[in-house]
Amino acid sequence: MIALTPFASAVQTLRILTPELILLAVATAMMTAGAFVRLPRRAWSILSAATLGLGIVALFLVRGETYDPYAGLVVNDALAFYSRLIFLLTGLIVLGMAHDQVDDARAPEFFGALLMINAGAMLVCSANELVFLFVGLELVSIPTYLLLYLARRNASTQEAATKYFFLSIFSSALLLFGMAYLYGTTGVSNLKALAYLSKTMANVPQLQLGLVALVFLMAGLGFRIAAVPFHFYAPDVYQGSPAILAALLAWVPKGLGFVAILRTVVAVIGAQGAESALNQKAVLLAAILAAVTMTLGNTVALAQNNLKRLLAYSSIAHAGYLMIGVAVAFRNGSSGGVTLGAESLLYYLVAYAAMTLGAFAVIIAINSGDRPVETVDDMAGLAATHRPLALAMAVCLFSLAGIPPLAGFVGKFELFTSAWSASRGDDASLFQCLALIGAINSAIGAYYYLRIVVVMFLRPATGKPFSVRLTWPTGAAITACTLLTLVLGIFASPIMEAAHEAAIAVSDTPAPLELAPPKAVTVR
Amino acid sequence: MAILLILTVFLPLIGAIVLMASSKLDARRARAIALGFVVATLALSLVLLSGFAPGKLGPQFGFEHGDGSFGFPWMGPLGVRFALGIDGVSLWLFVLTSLLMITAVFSSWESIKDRAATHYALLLALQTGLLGLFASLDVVLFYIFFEFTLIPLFFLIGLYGGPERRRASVTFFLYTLAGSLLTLLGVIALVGVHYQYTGILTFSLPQLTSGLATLPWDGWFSATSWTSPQVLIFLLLFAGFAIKVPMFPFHTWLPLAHVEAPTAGSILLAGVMLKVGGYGLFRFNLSMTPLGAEFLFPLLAGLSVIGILYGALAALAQTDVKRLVAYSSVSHMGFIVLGLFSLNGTGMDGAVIQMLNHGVTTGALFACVGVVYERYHTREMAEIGGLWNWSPLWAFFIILASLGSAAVPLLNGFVGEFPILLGMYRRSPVHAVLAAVGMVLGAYYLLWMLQRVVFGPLKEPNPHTHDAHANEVAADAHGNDAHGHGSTVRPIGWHEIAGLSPLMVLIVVIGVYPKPFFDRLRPAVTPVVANIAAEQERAKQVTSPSHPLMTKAAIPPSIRSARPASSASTPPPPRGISL
Repeated sequence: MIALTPFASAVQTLRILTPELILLAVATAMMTAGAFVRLPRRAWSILSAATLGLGIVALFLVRGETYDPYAGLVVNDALAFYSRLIFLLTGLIVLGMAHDQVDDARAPEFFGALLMINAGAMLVCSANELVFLFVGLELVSIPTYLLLYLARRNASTQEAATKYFFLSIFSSALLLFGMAYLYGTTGVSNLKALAYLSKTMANVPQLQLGLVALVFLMAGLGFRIAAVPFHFYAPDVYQGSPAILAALLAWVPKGLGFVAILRTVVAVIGAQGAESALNQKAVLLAAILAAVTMTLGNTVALAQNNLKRLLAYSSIAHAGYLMIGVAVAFRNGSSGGVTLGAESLLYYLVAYAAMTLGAFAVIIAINSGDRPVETVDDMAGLAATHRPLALAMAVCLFSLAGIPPLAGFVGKFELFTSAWSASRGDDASLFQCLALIGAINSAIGAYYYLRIVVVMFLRPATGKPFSVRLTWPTGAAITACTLLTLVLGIFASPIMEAAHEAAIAVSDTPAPLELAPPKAVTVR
Repeated sequence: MAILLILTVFLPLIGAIVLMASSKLDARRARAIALGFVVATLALSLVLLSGFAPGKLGPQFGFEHGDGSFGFPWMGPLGVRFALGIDGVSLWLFVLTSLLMITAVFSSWESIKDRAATHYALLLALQTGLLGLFASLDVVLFYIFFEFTLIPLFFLIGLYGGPERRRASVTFFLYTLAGSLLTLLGVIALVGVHYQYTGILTFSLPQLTSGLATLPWDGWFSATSWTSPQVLIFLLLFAGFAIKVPMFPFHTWLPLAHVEAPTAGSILLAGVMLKVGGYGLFRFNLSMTPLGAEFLFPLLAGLSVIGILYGALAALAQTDVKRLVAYSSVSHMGFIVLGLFSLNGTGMDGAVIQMLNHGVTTGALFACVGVVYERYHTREMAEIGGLWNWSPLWAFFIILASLGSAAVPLLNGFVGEFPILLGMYRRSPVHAVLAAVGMVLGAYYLLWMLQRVVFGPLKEPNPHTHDAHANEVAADAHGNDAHGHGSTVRPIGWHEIAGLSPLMVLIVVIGVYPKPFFDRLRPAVTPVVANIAAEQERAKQVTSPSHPLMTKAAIPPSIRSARPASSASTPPPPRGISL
């Protein structure tokens, strides 16, 4: 790598961002054209699918491109590739579920917003600059408000949209506050540079100021991932929104929230090593968040009867499991025990996406106007009449409960293993307790997933027969999610390898070009 | 042979997928396909049995590599391997599973009419889970099969069970899942400890067993308090297996699940699933954390004895034959655990062979009860009696199975329970004597059951409760005066005879000539016993006053203590290596 001129550097940035730019360009064009051109929604959805496909091609073409991470807005490392690919692929799955969920008139805005959300999520994945990361987050939030309002059907939908809007703004403010502190303690906003400084210089970021940054960053991103105490909106918003938006909210903000946590908090504070007080506080914070989030999500989910609400609490619980990975990632940097925290987190994210989207896709398929499926009891007897759908749902639910040989089990196994093998030194029992709480929570959580399975398979049908409208894109989405859930459990190796590389990239800080070697820098 | 083992394990799964894909198949075709698959699996198991070298140490048919690892890499970065292989302990449970599967299919031959294809698909999927877990040489693979068995059994009980089936299936599923998640943590802890102190990341059962036996960490060998590493990990592992066995306070799921399950489910649940608990205790708790067992001996032996006596007394109080057999399982599994925790060769030999025996006798008893229930739709001992008059052959089957279960000499139960009591007597006479009381009670409730159900004048329930195919033979005109002179219900069918007779043969063969069985399982038990003795010896050294660990007056409370100097100086090895 050589130092680039500002112009060359800008060109390089744009090259790396090609997939995002393609998505954004098409999305903008669609939203603009939507006002003038009348096309059936099918045309818009095909256009969106083609754009996502093009994005995947572009992503593979720019895969090898890298340049000095300390100069650039973006990094194109293994983490960026891995998570961008996941968002593109899940984007296709979401599109399959969404293709008939909107009427012709609103289709261009709807699909345009979907593409923009995808582009924003991908920007977060490759961002190497605090401000740029924030831009990516907002590029996800703003179209989400739009989508939530587009679906305005009744008062509860509007309430959900409003609630999401205000809380999202609030969390963005918290995030900015945290970012300002991180910037203030070092004077740089480049994330790799921040990580490098934090790794090589003691007391950077300074303990008290760094603590403020840590807490506010985790709070701001905690809203996206629906972690306690920022989870309040999730059940209401999921319940009030159409199922497709609930699915989107259950996956995209959570996925990108965790990637953002890895990119900012983990990369910077994790680089300090286990001896630093700030790192220990970060571990403690993440561990408490994890324990409280999964316990609350799982126990409250036990009492739910509304399907979307139940899945909302399930997604909160899963934020808790994933938070275990964050706690471990704070500790083990690029070398760790049996498996890295970031690695298990990234693997579990994929598993989570497949199984959660699969469950929502089935709900979307069986939930049509004249026979709504809102509560768990509404699913009674599904297996008797629609066996493949019930089987797909059961696979996803068993996986969410963590039953082998499905993806959810491998993910939980990796998370618990990473937590247990990180247990050295003073806070060894902290990690062991975290793994124990996780295991107990999985057992609690199994109850409410199993309840749905029992209702589907072991109860006779009641009331009107199901009116299932299964078009092939939705069917393909369900099949893809179910197969992924199965295959990722049995042949986990490729994803694990990719997740491992991505996890190493999180804390990878190469020696800066124009600086002397690290020893000269560490003037205390 | 190694490929044959993999084929044997996955053959039933192929059958399950075939049946699942053609769920509209009628009962006759479905049962024929299922029978074909279970017979083929049994044949392959018998080929493996005949190819098994009796005196050889270590697992066989396992694709062993020069460096001591087995199988193939599977979850790459983690170092989890796909490794199957069987040793003397798993061999018999493996064959038992294949054999009981035939009984299970035959016992659902007539009784399952609705959704038959799914029923047999679930049975076959369950078989793959059970065979796989007995043959696993990798802890993660073991765990995956272990948990996988829950799904088919859940649906078997939930879809085809009795009136309380929904509650039974959910209770069974959640209870066992909760325990086995703690077991998973225990497994992770074992791997973590091994990796931390040897620098070798392996999930292989044989490697972990030998590695942990010679761990370069003195703290591992001091089990002096509840927070000692071996004791803690023992308890984590124990949580899942104790529920599976089930040991006394954790048995509450068992009567419900056994009674509500369809006959095939009960046979496999009692015959094989309960052995999974005993097998896990042997494979993990006793092989890897024996000092935990040593430390907790009073508790474990106490619980086992309470289980034996409680199960026997509860069985005495039952009026339902199936419940009685279910509680007798609690009692008999208590013997198996007692034998295992005697921690000496005699007791453990007995416990391992008793797992096989109990599988055979309880499987046979549940099948016999199923035969009656299918015809009379009741299992209440007050409503049926004198069934000798209905079918002497059936009576012979249930008498032989009961006597085998009651440990009458020259039948199989004696071969298992006698060494268990002997081993326990050497260890702790009080427990052995109390357990012997349980044995007497066992004979009492089984004979009492036989007296009411088999002997005396024929007593059949009101024929109006008979179902359609019970009446196929019974002419309506004769229905009312059937009492006392000859039965009108369908006689015992060829399929029921075919399902039960191999078990009867085994009951007698093991009882008369157990040598071939002991010959094969002993090489697997002996190293475990030797290791227990070695670890006890090492524990004595570690806890002797002159040892540095004791003079420092600080026993590391758990694995949190720092790495020992020997391995701290060497850099951690690259990931994924297993030597």
